[in-house]
Amino acid sequence: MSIANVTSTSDRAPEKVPDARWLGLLKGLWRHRLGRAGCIVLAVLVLVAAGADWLAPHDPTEIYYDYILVAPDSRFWFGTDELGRDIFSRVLFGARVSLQVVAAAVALSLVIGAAVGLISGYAGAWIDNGLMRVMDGLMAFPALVLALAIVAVLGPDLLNAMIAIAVVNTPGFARLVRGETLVVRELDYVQAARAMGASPLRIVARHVWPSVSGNVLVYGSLKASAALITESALSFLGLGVQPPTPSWGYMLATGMQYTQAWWMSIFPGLAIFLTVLGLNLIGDAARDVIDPRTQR
Amino acid sequence: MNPLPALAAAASEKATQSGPTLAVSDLRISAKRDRKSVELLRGVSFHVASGETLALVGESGCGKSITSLAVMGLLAPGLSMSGEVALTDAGGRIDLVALSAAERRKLCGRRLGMIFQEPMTSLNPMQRVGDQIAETLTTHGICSRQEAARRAVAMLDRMGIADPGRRALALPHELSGGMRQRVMIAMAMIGEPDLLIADEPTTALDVTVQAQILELIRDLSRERGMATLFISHDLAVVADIADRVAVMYAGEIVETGPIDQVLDAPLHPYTIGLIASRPALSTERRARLSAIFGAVPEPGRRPQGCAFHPRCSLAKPGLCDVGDVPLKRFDGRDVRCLRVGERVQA
Repeated sequence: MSIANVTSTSDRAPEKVPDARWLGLLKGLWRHRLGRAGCIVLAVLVLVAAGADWLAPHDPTEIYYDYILVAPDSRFWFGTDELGRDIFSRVLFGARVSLQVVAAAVALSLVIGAAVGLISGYAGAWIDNGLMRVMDGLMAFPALVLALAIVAVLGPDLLNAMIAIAVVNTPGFARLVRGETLVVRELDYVQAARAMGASPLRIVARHVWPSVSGNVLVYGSLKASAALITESALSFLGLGVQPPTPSWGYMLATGMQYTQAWWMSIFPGLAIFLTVLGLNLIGDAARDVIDPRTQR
Repeated sequence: MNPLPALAAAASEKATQSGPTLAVSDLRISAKRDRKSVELLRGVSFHVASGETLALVGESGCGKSITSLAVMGLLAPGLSMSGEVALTDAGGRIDLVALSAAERRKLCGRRLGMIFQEPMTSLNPMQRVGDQIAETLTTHGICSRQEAARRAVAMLDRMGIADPGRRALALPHELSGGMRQRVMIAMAMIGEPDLLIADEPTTALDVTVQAQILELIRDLSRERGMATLFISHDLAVVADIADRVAVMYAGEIVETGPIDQVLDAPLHPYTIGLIASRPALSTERRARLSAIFGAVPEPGRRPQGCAFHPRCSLAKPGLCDVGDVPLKRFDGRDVRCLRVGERVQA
């Protein structure tokens, strides 16, 4: 009873209390200067995507025959494209498509990749070998080439683009999670859990995954920007979103054919740039917050 | 200091009669290295009766920890194991080696409890300690979540932790080393195991806390009639807690017997050296401690004959460096030394 001394580190650094780590991560991101910028950028994008119906001054697919390739002015803020559609409205609606694809693709690859990585890392032996060789096989192709091949097989549309992006990103998650799992499963407290008779499933769910998930989240936010670029590239090649639905990549692609109409490619390009920047800022900040050693 | 020498002696006389809770016989563990099989444990046998504490003592790498892991079924997958590990009680005898992984999991936590060496790393840093203690109960579906949480708090109280209700909500990093070790003990004890394995439970603690923890373990094992297998390299700790001791060297037991006898009048040259190398408070400040010269043989580079003979001042060429040395019964204990008889007479 005499040694009831508590070292109370918790009230000094609440963002490090692992138990409330999701909330702690958000708080930490907000406290991080660049992280906050990333959060704001992403929040604005999400609002824009959600509110595109109200924010857009024009219907993104409506064609104004008298206003083809008009430079930005007070009526068409970002100008019009080769068919006379309002680029500002199309950029707003494009956010919806792009964010949807990115969120769904990253979530899918995270879930599958994490499952593969946990099973592989914890089970070891031939299961590990089998799963990892499949992942290596996927990784052997350049991401875009593989995504192109998958879309080519499945047929070009938005859903298939999502699937392709998810497949391309899965091996990265699987490898990361496997590597972390290999480390965590040897830790003393996992051994202690085994000694108290916990089943492998329970150990993975209660002891391994919580230790791994932070890094996976960071990786996910970095991968999101790569996924956005892949989505843009697929749409650019006409294999993602099908016209007339607006997509940043597709707009960029058509803009390239009209070099004198700089506004056609600048604005969707800027949107891609901002989104990738925001996601990368969040990813970097999340890494700093989770790993105190890299803190500024 | 040792209120049960008679019981311990009786237990060692006739193992089956008093119903030892744990009986290990001819336990061998080997690892594959460079396609060669290296023996880490060379036929270890011992037993622990309920209410009794057996200490396994030896230097790092002598095989004491691997023995405890083998009993718990926590050996690394690359190691192969033979021999018998049996758990006996009124309900019958269970051979732990023959069990499937799932059957063994049912025993771990309920019949077998283990306290780990490092209280700093053996607790999950992201879980409240109360939840970790309760997990033993919920894993086995022994009781409801609420009941398990309640029992966890009661267990913390029994561990001598003040304000257990609040401490149960603490995360490991908020507790001191001694408190964390108490939590570890609570985790091992809450399933009310028949056998408690304590692998150097006090090594990471300072001496004052160490004494409290030892007392706690001793009280609990007496109170619940548990068999306790206590692993340590610290003879002072062992003298404090054990009824019997088994000294290990290079994967073998070299001397085993009642603790007082072994510590007061060691027979094996290694035990003698081990005891002589302990610093005492009365030792002159600059007086050199006596050390055993040489080093423990690496597994796989074991010398012929007695494993200890290259470091033994009593080794006799032609006798100690050929053939295997059996455990011999001498003066109420077992000793693995060919010259034990002559030395005592001399």
